[in-house]
Amino acid sequence: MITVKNLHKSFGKIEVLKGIDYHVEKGEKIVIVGPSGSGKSTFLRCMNLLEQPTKGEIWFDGQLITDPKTNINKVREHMGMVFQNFNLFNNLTIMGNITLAPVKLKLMNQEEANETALSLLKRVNLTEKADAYPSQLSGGQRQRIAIVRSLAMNPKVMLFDEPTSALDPEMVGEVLDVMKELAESGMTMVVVTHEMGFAREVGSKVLFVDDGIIMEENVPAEFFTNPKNPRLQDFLSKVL
Amino acid sequence: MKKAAAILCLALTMAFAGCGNSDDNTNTPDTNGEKNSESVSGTESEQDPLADGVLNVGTNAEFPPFEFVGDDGEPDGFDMALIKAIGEKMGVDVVVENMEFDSLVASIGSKIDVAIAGMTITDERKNMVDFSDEYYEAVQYVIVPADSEIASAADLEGKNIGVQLGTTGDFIVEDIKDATAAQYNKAVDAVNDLLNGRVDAVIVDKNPAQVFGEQFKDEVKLFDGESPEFGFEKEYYAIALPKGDEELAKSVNDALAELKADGTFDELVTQYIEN
Amino acid sequence: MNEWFADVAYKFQIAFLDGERWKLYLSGLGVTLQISFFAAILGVAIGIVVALMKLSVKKDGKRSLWSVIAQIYIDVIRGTPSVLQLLIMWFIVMKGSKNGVLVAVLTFGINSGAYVSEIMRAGIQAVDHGQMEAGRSLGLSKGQTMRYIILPQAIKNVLPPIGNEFIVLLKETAIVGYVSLSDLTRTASQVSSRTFEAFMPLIGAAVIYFIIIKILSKLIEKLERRLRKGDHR
Repeated sequence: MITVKNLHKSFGKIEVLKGIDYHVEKGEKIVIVGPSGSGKSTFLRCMNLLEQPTKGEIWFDGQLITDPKTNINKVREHMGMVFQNFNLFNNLTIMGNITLAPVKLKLMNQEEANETALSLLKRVNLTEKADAYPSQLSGGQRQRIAIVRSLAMNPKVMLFDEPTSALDPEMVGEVLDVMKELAESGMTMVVVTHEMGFAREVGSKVLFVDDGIIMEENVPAEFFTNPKNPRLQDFLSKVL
Repeated sequence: MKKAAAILCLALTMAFAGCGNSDDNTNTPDTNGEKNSESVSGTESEQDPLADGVLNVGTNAEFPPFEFVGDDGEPDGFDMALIKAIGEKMGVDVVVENMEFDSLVASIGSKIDVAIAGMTITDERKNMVDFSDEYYEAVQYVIVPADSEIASAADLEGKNIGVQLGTTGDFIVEDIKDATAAQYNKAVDAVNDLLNGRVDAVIVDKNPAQVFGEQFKDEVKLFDGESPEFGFEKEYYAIALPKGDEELAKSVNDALAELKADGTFDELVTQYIEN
Repeated sequence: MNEWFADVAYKFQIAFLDGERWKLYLSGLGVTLQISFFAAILGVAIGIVVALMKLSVKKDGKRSLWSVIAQIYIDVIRGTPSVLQLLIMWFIVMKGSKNGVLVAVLTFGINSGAYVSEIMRAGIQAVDHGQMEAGRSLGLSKGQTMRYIILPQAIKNVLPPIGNEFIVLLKETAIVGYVSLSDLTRTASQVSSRTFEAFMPLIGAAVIYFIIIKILSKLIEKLERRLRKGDHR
């Protein structure tokens, strides 16, 4: 579904990604872990070109999206993204947040979009917040809405950029529950996170990114119980 | 909103109170109220305006050749030369203040002692100030584009007419049927807009009109306002003086008479106006 | 004291009542409001466009040509007195136009646009960058995100300084008398050139400006409160 070839990314003189190759299969749940500053978020943000790669290719669904001729807006319609800071549209109600993109991009009319939104809100138990503004919601509620907002586009893959890092501890659970449910429904997911429990439970593969490359890749059981790379061993000893 | 209204009231009260105080100080030796009830604060003064040996003169240096801003940045022109000569005869220093024409009359007695600015004697102005003896005949000219069909007072009816705010021309337009006055700060702006087609005619005093007529020879033509076709009334320039100050009026008039008698006046006319 | 009241009453009489002069102030106020209103609309329209121009970048992240043009416009307008801009528009750029109010609207609209654009730019930059990223991640274009997400929030941010700019604009129009337009300030001059009494017309005009601006700022305050509704932080 997503193929990354020889991905490099520099910010000015600092090279953050130093050559990443990876392939995500349909239905996989890839969890990316690593110390802060390792480049894992940049890696994720390159997948939908929120960061423009300095070098390398990204393929999505058989299409070379790093080609300048590709209409990236069309591609992004099929790639949902959830941010650390939720980034709900502050000027719109929850309903407006969810329906804006499908309606403006003419994927649905307002009525269909409202219906979709309501059924999604039901799924995350936030139906009563439909007319509230983001500022009236708790962090956990906002992040659940952000997930729902992406789902309303009916994406083929969902990217999560540290979705629980900005949350108070007691709210982490409600967001992870939604993500787990989403995983069970068969969604292809790429998740950057510090939640090792989630990685172990949900991940089909876990990647350890450090120093701009993928240092280790394995199924969760092996990844956590039998780490090979000394840097990963060191990392796990600190976070577990 | 209530608070705003209160503040407004307070501000107004203070403004009025301030005015009242100054009135108490400067009003008024002559108490024959009926005749002078229209007089305005500050136009009469108990003190001799010349006590300090300085005659403060107001003018509006936008009216060549009577007054204009000279190359040195100071007001120059016939009126300036005349008032300086008068000051010399009276034995006082003349200090000239250049200001808007329409505020000259109101400033006499406060900011300035007298005003000389090619000012025509009118009844309205006489309510507020006294005038010296006349020193020049004021003739209004009508300037129209060279191809204009305007040739008489009747043709001016309903037209848009450029004037300098508060000048004789401005008052003339008030009496022309259905005409609207476009009031400029400077006569030259009115003439520019005549050339731009924004006004149909311009009414200004003869001498500046002739200056403009010379400058835009091919584009405009002039009519004498005193001609039978237009029939504007004859009017005269004089120096505006504080109301009721007979002593000052006498010394100004005496000086003016002397200048006329000794030929200085005619020299100035030749130098500034006929040249 | 009696004499003083009689004097004030007389001044009031000649400044407002004689010859129904109060009608002059009303029509002067009409001209002032007409110019201010349309210039404000034009100024906001120009301001938004110029702010977007100024913020536009080339693919390599450097300033675009549009941005340079926007900067020159802002510099020229802010670097010259508005009365000169008015005279230049009146006697040079639009000397063929007989619609004086139109010339004034364009002059003040173009003038205000420069100030509004700087306010708007600051307002746009104050919106969290995450809002743009979220919009783009959903497949919305940069323009769509700007229009539906960023600008509404930016406008809410800048309402107080924009309201201030409207007030400045309204008072700035007092210079149109220079080119023979009869606005409220000019009306005061016209009346005092007839009555030779400056106090009442000037105070009268000042009071009218004050009331209009008080009403205007109340309206802006109200609008601000309404827009803040979704914003309990």
